[in-house]
Amino acid sequence: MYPSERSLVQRMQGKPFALLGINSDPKDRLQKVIEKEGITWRSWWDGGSTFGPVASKWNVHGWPTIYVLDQNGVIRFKNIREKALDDAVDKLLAEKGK
Amino acid sequence: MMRSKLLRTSLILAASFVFWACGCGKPSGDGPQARDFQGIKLEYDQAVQKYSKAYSAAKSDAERSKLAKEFPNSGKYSQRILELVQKNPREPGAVEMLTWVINHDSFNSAGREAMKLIEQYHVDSDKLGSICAFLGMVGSEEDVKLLRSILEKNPNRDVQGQACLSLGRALKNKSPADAERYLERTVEKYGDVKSGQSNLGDNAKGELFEVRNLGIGKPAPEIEGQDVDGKPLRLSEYRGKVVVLDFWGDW
Repeated sequence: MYPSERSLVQRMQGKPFALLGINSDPKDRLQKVIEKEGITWRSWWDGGSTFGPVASKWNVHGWPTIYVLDQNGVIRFKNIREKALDDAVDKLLAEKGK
Repeated sequence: MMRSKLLRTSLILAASFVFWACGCGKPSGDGPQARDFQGIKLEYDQAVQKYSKAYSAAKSDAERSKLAKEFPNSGKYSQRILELVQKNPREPGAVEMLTWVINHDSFNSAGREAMKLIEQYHVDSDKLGSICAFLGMVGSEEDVKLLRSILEKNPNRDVQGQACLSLGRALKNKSPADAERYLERTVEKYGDVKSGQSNLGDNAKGELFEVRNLGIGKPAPEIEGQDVDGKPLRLSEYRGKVVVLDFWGDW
């Protein structure tokens, strides 16, 4: 999980892209993971469990769950990973601004 | 979350919760088949415990990857349980046995055989809540077919409600319009049926929010909160960028 995310963030440097997490760990664990895994992208801290306010509103039951939004904030892909995720991000970046 | 067993771990955790919440863990019946079933389950649980101990004791990622390949295969246990059931498929205790097989092997022929036996002999059982909950999570064609049969034929209101909610879940990506109808029906007809810590109505409303607002092509709702350092973070600040939202945890 972390290596592919790190590599995506690396590849996207300088591009209009952001990886944002919604995290379900207790705060101290989250802090440790951020340090240990070199997590440079931001995450909302969702209260320390999988039943936090954001995860509940978004009806998240499976972990991880991924949503990909275009530059207009529209949901374009759901629950894709690895190469499919990379390809989707590239595709959206290539779309001209509307 | 261990990458290589992500889906299985989530499903087993979810299934265990549902199983527990439905109180289906108590053995029903005392006969030789029930005892054999308890024996098989115990063997499997011990194999999983042994594996977990070894995994925790592993000192490197390489060692862990190697061990992960040896996670006990539930398939052979499911086969033995199916053989027990087939000796007397009408026996009420069979539902609990078939539930175990579905929870552990719904993806393969053992699970499909168990589902066939449920449809054939136990579609009217009042103990199908747990199976219904589980089938809603993956929602394959076979899962949907069995859920529809149960909704149609089962006389128990709690079971009907669970089947209705699960149909909503199973269809939400493939047929959102159908999913919405099942979810609305769950709220209307079965809203007060208890489910874990809440009820089917609340669960269905959560699903309805997702179906109506979080589908492909919908504008993502705002997310407002704080990051781990307590600094404010808002999704709308990132308009103009391609955003990947990742609901995650290190657990």
